[in-house]
Amino acid sequence: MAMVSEDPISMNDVAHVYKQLTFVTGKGGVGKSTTAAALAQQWFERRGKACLIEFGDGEAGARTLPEGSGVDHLVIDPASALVAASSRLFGSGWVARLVVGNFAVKRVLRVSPGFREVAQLERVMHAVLADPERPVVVDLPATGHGVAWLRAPKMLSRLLRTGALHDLAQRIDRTVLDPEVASVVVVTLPEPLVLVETQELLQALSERVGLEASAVVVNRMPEDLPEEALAQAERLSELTPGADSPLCRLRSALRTRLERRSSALSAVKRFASAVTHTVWVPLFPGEPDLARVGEALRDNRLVLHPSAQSVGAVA
Amino acid sequence: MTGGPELPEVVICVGGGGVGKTTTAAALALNRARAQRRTLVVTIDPARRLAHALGVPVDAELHDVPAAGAPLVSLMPESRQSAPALVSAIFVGDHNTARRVLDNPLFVTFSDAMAGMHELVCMILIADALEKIPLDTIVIDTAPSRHAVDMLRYPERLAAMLEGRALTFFAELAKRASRSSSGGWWSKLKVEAALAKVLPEQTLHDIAILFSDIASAKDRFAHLARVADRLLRGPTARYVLVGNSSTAALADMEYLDARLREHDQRSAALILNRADGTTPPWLQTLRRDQQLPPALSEQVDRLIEEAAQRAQAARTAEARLRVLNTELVRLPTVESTDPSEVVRRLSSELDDLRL
Repeated sequence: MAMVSEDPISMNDVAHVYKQLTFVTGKGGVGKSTTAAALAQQWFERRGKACLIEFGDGEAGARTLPEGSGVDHLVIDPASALVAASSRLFGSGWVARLVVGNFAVKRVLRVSPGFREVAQLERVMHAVLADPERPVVVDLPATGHGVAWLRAPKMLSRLLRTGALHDLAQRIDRTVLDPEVASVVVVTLPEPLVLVETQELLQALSERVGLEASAVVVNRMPEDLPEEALAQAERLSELTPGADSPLCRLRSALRTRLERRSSALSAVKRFASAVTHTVWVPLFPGEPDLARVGEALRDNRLVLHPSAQSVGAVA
Repeated sequence: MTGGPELPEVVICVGGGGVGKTTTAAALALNRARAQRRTLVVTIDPARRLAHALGVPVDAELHDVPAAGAPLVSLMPESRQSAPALVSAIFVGDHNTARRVLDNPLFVTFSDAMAGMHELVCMILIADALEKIPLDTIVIDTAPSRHAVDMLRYPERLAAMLEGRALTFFAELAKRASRSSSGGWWSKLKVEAALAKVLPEQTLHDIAILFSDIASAKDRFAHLARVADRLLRGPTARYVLVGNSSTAALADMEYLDARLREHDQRSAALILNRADGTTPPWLQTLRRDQQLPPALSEQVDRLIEEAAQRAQAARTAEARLRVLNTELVRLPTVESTDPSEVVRRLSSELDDLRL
């Protein structure tokens, strides 16, 4: 059990390098939206401006960003993004509406949602280009969809090879998926199966999207358990027979907690070999709190003051 | 073929991420199978978690779940492997066309890179499975997303596309485009001319081939899409909203309930996970009866505090969800690192659930 007493933060010897655009993704329910909002808020406080992009109805950002937060909150609606992107593609809103509204095109678009994703990434591209000094954080959909989203422009440009739609897809790919501009932060939980999926996601990002995740945020990390507490539980539970005795239940509850922590620590060692910065966000009782998550991101050096950001690796 | 004489009960689990939706779907399926109903459990999102829990592989085939000890079959297609399964379900026996479709660069791109396509493919695979094995219940675990409800309309839209003139339009797109480029100024205003302007010739050609290939099997394809549509929107479809007591999960449940109503569906039940009503008796016993060393006692206090917080949150959640006017089931927290243990325990809590 030596692992358990290791200080997670000291294991973290790779610094996070600031990029203007950050995609936040991960398995559903791991705290992506809160992490994305906390990151945007932290950057706003350090850089004076920041933009949080969300797809859909904007509920998550509205719920998590503090009242009067200076963060620009951009909610991208798929239908209007498609019309806007097509207008630029065809050089005229009129032709765009003609094409998008065509009986056959409409039918095909309705069963192939991928186009909407490319159109939504086009909006992200404009948000990035609008102000190179403004950090942009994108709250991406969960794992499977997240990879599909990031792949869509590359796939489209590879498929077409030439032509105006190809040029647009390529431009989106080269702007929002350029490793010089964009980074991916993957949010995960200290649970064995979630960690396995995270490992697969990191691999998919690297192999299929061409972006190395720049940081992994391990959310809701249980606190370390005093070794003597577990030892006492082990000893006392042996005196009371029966798997359902209160002391045995206590022992297994403590074991579960400890297992979560140590499997997270060992998984992170594997992530670390992929040169990924790791962030630990402790398990807070009750609702996720933007300020506390932000504090953890800061303490773990995910967000640094611009002057300190040039540090490549922290010994 | 009219899609079978009787539709099975279709239980569709929707909910945000991380609320235990996959585990709940597995527990529901196990519960139905234990009641001797022939049950198929499907996960749309490639979920190793559930596969692991049930001891079945993640692929596009039907698998018996031996661990269930009941008539339970699983289908857990991974999104990257589902395209060949789709093609073989549609082009039954026509290997040449199937091969050509699988090699078509457009098909490769769309089946691989486009989110949402996988949901559609899964529904077609379910419709196909229904022809292969008799089923009383199908439990579908949707992708953990607020957009999960969007898939309700995918099969119907697909069927409409297949049955309409769109196939012919695209099958003839290349021909039409070259005709319009050599025509007068008015033909430049046509959609095919606009598309030809932004797409390369090769793609127009690939589109034509793909759509004429699809047209050759459109009756079968449209039939499967119609069956899938009846499963999702027919009289036996039951939507179960899964969540927990967190504000985010509750907001997701309310949102999904509203979206279901937009699609003329109602949620049949709400399942609230980790919604214990009280502090577990064993913790109360420990605090009351046992003289524990200080370090251990501190941990007991912490567990009790967490349990009390959970119970309070569950009460608040229940009150908030009451306005949805739907049956609500509260499931307890099962502390175990073994997923199949969690599935078994939750399954026995669902006996009273009427859908």
